[in-house]
Amino acid sequence: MKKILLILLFLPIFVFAELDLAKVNKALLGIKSNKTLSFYTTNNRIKLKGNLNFTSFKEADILLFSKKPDKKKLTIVDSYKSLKTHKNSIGAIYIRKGRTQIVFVQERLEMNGLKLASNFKKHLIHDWQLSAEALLKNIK
Amino acid sequence: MNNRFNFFNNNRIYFYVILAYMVLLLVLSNTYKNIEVYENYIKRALFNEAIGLLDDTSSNVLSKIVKKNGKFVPSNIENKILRDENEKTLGLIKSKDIKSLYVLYLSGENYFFLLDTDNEEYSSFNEVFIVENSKVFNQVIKNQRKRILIQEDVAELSFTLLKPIVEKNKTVALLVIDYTENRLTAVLDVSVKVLSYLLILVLILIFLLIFYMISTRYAKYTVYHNSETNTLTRMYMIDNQQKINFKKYYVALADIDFFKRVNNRHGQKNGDKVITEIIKIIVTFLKRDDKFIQYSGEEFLLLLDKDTRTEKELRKLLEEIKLAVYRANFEIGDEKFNLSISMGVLLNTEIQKSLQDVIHKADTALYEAKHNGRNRISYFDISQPKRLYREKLKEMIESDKLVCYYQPIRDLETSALHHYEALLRIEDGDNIIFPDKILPDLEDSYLYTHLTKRVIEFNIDMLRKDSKMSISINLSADDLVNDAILSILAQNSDLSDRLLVEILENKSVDYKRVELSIQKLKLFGYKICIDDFGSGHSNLNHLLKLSIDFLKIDGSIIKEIHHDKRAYSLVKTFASFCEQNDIEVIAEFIDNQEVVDILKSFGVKFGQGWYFSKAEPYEALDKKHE
Repeated sequence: MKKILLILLFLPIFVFAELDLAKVNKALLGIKSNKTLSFYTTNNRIKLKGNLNFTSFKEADILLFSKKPDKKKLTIVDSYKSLKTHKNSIGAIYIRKGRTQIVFVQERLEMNGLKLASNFKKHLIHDWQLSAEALLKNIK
Repeated sequence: MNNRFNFFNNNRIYFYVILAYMVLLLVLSNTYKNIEVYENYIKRALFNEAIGLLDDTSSNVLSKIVKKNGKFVPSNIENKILRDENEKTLGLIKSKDIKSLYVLYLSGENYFFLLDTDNEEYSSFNEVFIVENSKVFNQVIKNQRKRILIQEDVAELSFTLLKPIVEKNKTVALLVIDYTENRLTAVLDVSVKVLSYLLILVLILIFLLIFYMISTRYAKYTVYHNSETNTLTRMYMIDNQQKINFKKYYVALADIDFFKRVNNRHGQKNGDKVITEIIKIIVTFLKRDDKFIQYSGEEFLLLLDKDTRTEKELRKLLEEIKLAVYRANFEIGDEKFNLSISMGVLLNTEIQKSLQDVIHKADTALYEAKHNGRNRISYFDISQPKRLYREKLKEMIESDKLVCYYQPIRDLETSALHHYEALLRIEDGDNIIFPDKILPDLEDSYLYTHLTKRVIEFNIDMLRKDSKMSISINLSADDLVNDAILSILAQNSDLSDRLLVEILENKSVDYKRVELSIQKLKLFGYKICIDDFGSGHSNLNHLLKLSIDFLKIDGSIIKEIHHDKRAYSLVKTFASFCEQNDIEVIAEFIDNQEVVDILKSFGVKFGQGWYFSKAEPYEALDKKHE
């Protein structure tokens, strides 16, 4: 018993930061369109979680975690940096400081006839907020 | 069921203990539901302690940076060198427990990174940071007070410290410090679990303790209380003799008159019902501070509080109780009957040394009441003759002081030994107590039956020890209708060829039941003898009905036979009657050869008396039994 207690007390807990897939799944379901959205990803783990409609690359409306965004398809990228760089990406999902970050650009969603459910409002940023100059201007 | 109700009614404290326990359970279960809230509260308090030093350091560092930077947020956005410098400075604060240390600023509704000290996972400035607890972040900005945020959903983190960076009384940014899970958090998590288990364990222990306490008390209560009447039992008195302050009570010992007859006639079960009814009558007259103790089956000890009544009132009360019992009608089956009680009372208990003394004196007075005709109350008076107190008698009966002496019954022709008559003696030191000294006092009491049982058991042991011996024992007609006594004889029927039952008739005998009992005994193989025939209650007609084997003519007639014509002809008639009905005759009190000769001429077969031998203890007998 004493040993078990010592183990419990001093055992370092190694937990590797991973995407909160349940949260991701909910957020992706929160993207509203006039049709049922279908997704494509090479990440099989997210396919197992939740009720998203996954399909082939060709038929998919949105590509998930794509390293090389396709110019013809909407993309959700895997870093904030990519979100800034690729203008046809509508959002980004990545980990920052151990937390799963889900970010959507409001203007890009709207431009593609998409919007986010009201309970995911905090995940929305404006296109201008991607620019340091614009942010500085806003602060000043 | 009665007992449980009475127990909780008389011991309300246990009811409140159970209630308090239930409330405690409710409170704790409610606390357990909100355990996380309390857990976080404790964690926050402990984390506050843990971050004490770092908090001061970071405040100093921030203060310097802010002063140096001018407009803190714009300066850092515009000036990369300043940003690098500030990140380096902030990085000095970091310890091994800190996973990340960064500065966020608010733009619109979103937080953006301004500075980050994390080399492995560096967040570039102006990168958005979506926070889950935006309300808490916003509060820190608004209230300008640091906050600790417990991190339950973020892996590797235990808590996050949020510190406002204030510039000209306005919060312009937030310093965010993420703490890794470390020993402290592990200890806390384990502690809360251990505490919860300990709490459950303590609750179980408390429950067991309460259960044990109540069950022990309840067990005592059931032993100390009659479940029907909720009155105290003799066991209560035995266990609490030293605790009872007898000096504050008048003490009355009451006994139901001739109660053994009720038991014998209607069985013990019905007898108990009658006792219960009488107890219920008596307790209606008692006050709260009085005590009613069922001293033995039909004997009650009443401790009557002196503070609430005068002597005059007591006397009146006891008369009322006596009258109430006397007037009560009892009914068993179709038979209706009345009973009375006698009481012995001791008033001056304050000068007595012990409760035992008090009871002995009340007992003496009770005997006085019994001897003076029963259905009366007698008050102890120093002039009353000393008797063997019942308590002492009971002690003697239970102990090895009870013995039997044996008088031989011989064949008058051959002088051969036929059997011995067992005669009760009580050896009190050097003093031998004869039955005539105690039996009248015991008549119709439970002790009489008790004594009979002990005599039977004594002789059964004797017969088992000495296989050559034959014994006759004396039972009253009342004993014969007692199931307990019949049961002992039935269980030892293997000795029936050496154990003869002598029956003494008395006025209360129910011949139908006696006849039935004799038939049973004969079925077990016992031989039956009618004792003291020719004394007060003898009846020749009954004799024929009872189908007996022996008839013992009363000694008072035999000893007159050689000089009293009436005694002579009476014995002759009895002997002739018995001869014609195949009944063997035994004559007792034979004290000379002349009497032997006369008896032989009548055809009397057996005799006993001092002429042959006195009754002697077993040790003095010739073991050949010839």
